[in-house]
Amino acid sequence: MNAAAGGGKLVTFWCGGHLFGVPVNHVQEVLRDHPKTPVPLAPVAIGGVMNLRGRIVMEVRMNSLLGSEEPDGDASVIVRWEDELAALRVDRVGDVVELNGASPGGCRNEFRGRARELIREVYEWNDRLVLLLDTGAAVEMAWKRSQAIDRGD
Amino acid sequence: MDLAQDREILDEFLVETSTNLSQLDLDLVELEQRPDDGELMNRIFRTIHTVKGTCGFLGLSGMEQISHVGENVLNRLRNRELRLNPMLVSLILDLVDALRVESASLQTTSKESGNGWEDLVARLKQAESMPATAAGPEVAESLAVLSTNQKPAAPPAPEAPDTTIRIDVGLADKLVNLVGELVLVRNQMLESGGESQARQRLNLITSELQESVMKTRMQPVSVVWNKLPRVVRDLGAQLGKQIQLVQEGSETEMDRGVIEAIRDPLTHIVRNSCDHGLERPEVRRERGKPEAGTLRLKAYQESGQVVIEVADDGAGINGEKVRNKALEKGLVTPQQVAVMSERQLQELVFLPGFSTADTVSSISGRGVGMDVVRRNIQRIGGSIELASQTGAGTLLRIRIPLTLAIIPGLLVTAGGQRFVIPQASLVDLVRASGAQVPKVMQWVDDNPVFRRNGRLWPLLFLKQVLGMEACDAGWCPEVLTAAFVEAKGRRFGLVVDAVQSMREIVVKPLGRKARGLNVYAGATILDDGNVALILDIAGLAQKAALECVEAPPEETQARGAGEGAARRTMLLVEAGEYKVLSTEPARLGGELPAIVVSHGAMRAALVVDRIRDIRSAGFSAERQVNHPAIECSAVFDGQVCDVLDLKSILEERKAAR
Repeated sequence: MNAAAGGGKLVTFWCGGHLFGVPVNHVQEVLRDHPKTPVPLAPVAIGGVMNLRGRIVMEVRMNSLLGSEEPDGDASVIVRWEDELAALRVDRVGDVVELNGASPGGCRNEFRGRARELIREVYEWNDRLVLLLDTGAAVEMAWKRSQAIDRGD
Repeated sequence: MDLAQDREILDEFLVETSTNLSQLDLDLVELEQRPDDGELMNRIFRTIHTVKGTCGFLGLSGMEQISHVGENVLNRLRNRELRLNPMLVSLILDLVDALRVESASLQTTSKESGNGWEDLVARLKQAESMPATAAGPEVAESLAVLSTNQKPAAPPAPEAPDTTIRIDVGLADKLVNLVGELVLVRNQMLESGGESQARQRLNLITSELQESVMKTRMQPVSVVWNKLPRVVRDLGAQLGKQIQLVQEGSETEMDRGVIEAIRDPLTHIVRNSCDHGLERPEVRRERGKPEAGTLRLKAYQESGQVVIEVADDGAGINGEKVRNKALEKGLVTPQQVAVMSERQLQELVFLPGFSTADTVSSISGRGVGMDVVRRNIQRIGGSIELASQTGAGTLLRIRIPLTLAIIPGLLVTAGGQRFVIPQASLVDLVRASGAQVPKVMQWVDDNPVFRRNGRLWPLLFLKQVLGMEACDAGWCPEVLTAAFVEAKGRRFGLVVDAVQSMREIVVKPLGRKARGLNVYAGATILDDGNVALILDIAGLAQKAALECVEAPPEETQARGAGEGAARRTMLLVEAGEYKVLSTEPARLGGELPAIVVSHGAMRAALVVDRIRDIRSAGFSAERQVNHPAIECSAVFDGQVCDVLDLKSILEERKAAR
């Protein structure tokens, strides 16, 4: 996933206190309070499945991935991931950020914990750090990590 | 011409050639049966001629060369200078195969294979230069042939304009998807109430559109069958058997997904019948049968399913031989086979790792196929049954759904959520309430079981298996609703909170990751736009590590054989879309099928759409549907049928009067 691919634009969103971004051309749409069906036995980070105009889309709870106990927000960012769609449940959606003005804001290794595995790159924008999300890693982690936790209890 | 550049032209050529080659296969096999059919001969000649011409135009010199030599041979055959014999037919079929190999090479590399086919060309040339058949006694015949030969030379009759177009499968799938969406929106709109003409029209148009779009995915079964005459002919030649192939109902249509899925199993069954089923001519003669064996394929639609039958008049399956083989291989124990009927013994051929062929042949392999065949058919929601009479032949009957995209399923609720049980795995529905529950449901240690017909069946609480709610041992619900399901030959009761309704659902994939959970077969979108998960019955059983009772074989199946279950004879009828009796006054006039019933002094005629069958079944007379006219449900031919409570219907009518 290359941030430059979307003309350097990122759709940003807040979750777990971080500002994340996804290249604008990977985002299909943003939904609010879309009805969903829980998937029993799925890991905790999987919020359920929703009907997106006839396609079944699996929801990833970003808060749960980041280890946050906060209740989920009401916004879902629908991103294309490989040939499937995934819905990222986030706290709230931010601005579209033009990366031309932003500069690399450091190294992902500076982040600790789970966030680090989800970050591709870090940019500085308007005195803030924007973390470029690795969608594939997020989906993988949602299925893997939390299943391990499930087994633990 | 650089074909790699002109991929479009090449693709068109390949599609056309593949159609032509398939036609040649069929025509040549037919020609062998009717060697004097001049028109058929001419058609074969023209097809090869067309292939040759197009190859020349595209600069495919290798293909042009071999079809040219073939054309020469055909020309001599056509002019009656050569007599058709099986050797010549095989030779020309080899030519067709060579063309096929070249096409495959073009498909992948955009180039010819570079194989010179010297051997084939030499054989063809040899055939071409064979001395003409003695012309003497055939003069009159060749005169007659001359006149038939003039037909193609005459200006061809104006051809009917081609009314078909080719469309991309991806596009067809997309259309099906979009129409599915439109249907949902329509349903939502209808539910939101109000009556207007536009609404009505939208409703009708949507239904019609859906029906038409579904049809675009339908193909006749002949798409698969067309390959079989050639397969059977080659096998016959190889095995030294005479086999007559009869096809009935080749126009029967089904979804292309289903067609693809049955291609291999069907070919396997046909090979098996030719190899193991039909006897050699000398054996048949000894047994007083005609030397040529008959392999009969039959396809037809029946109650929303396609049935394909493969029947041979061969040796049949020898139960004893099967038993010995199964014992030898340690697939069954002597105790198990001791109580088996002939039919159950025959069914052992479906066991994995089974083979009865005395000699392992290259044709149907080691016979490991039948379990794979069954598994492949079950995977698409179908079933296969076997009926065989020693000495008289074997019949294999495959039942498959019309389409994979839409399947009938039972909507149930558990833990406040809706799920779908595919009808293909549904056997029966039972319901007990109040004081009845402890009678039928018991706990054996930590495992709940259901007592029925003198047997104990394992029960599975859906919400517990799915981790939605725990059910402690000894727990006993107020009302017990269980769907008896069967998967991989195991049967168990799936306890749900409530049964909603049977409906046609559009199956959607759930994504790669969710497949790993192994308990869902997919998802579907309900009328209200919400998603319901489709249960994978086999996966659920595995999840629960269920020690299931093996499904009883057909004959002893719980259909009333057990204790006290009333066995009754029932008339199976179809009425209305939901098979629920309409209480509206029937539209009379014309011929309507009706059944006349009486209860006490009352007589009444029930108007139905179609009278299907008379069946006898044993079941508990427990009411399980909240409709006064429906007594209970029973499953026939894999379909859930409502059993009407005629007594209460009649009494209700009486009271209404």
